[in-house]
Amino acid sequence: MSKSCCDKTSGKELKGILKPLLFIAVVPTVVVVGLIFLISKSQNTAAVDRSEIGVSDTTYKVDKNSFSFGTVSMKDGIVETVYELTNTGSEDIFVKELFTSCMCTKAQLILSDGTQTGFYGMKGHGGLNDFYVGKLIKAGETVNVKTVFDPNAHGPQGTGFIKRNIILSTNLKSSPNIQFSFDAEVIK
Amino acid sequence: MKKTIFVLLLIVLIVIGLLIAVQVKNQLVAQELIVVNEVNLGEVNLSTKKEFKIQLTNNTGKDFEIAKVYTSCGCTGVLVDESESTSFVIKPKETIYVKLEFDPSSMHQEGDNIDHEVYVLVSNPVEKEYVVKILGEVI
Repeated sequence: MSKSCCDKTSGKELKGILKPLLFIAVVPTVVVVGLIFLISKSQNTAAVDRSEIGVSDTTYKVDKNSFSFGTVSMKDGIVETVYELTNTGSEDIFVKELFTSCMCTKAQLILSDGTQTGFYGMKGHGGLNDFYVGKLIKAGETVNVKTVFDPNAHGPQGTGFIKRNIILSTNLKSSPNIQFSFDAEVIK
Repeated sequence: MKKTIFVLLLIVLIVIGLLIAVQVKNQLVAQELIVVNEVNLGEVNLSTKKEFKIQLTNNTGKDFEIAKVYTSCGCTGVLVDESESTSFVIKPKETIYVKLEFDPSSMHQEGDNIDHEVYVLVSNPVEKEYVVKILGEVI
């Protein structure tokens, strides 16, 4: 009798001890597992192939869409200008490609941390991947598109009025191509 | 009776307003020079220069002054003699063809898509730049 009495008591006591113990064990375990899951998820996101990044619904502004060099003399050679692009939205912009409309024009993307890509030219002068940039313009970031025009690229016949385009192909939802242009009157 | 007259007058005014709006819209449309949006060169042999024309039609009653015709690529040029200029006037009801030449050998290679632009800058009666896409494939 007394045994069963004491067993009952010790069972209740055991339950009383187990409850907080379970609480103390389960809650931190759930928190730790959750943190591990979140960390692994963020690492997976960072490892995603950039070419498969989805569309961006962000906005941007540029300091100028077009620029006029005025008269450019062949004997004075290469001229350059820089276009400024700011991601004014809350999502990053993924730059897929950078290319120009003519082999006489080359363009380079310069990120805010000073990272510079190589110079990209006109499509048709290399393989399909030659124009792949694969860089992110972070929300709020301002980047530069440095553009170089060589008036001698077409030889002595290349005089007259010209207009050239520089195109950034992005993952923007509306109008994925960001286009800049410049013009010049090329003289000998 | 007064109410009927008022309603009739209102209907007449609405009809007149609509007619005026249509007329104004037609006049605005008629201000435009008719320029083709794109020219498809089809397949162009890498070693062959391809000549093509852009048609400009002036269906308005005014002269259209073309300030210049220029291109987005050195591989595409306007065919004019050295003495000639790319500025000219298109008279009312007149159609003019601008001759151009695409030279793939200078900047392209086999299999390239042709995707260039020709620009026609009108200086009068209103300043406007018309863009003509030049498409095709280099073989």
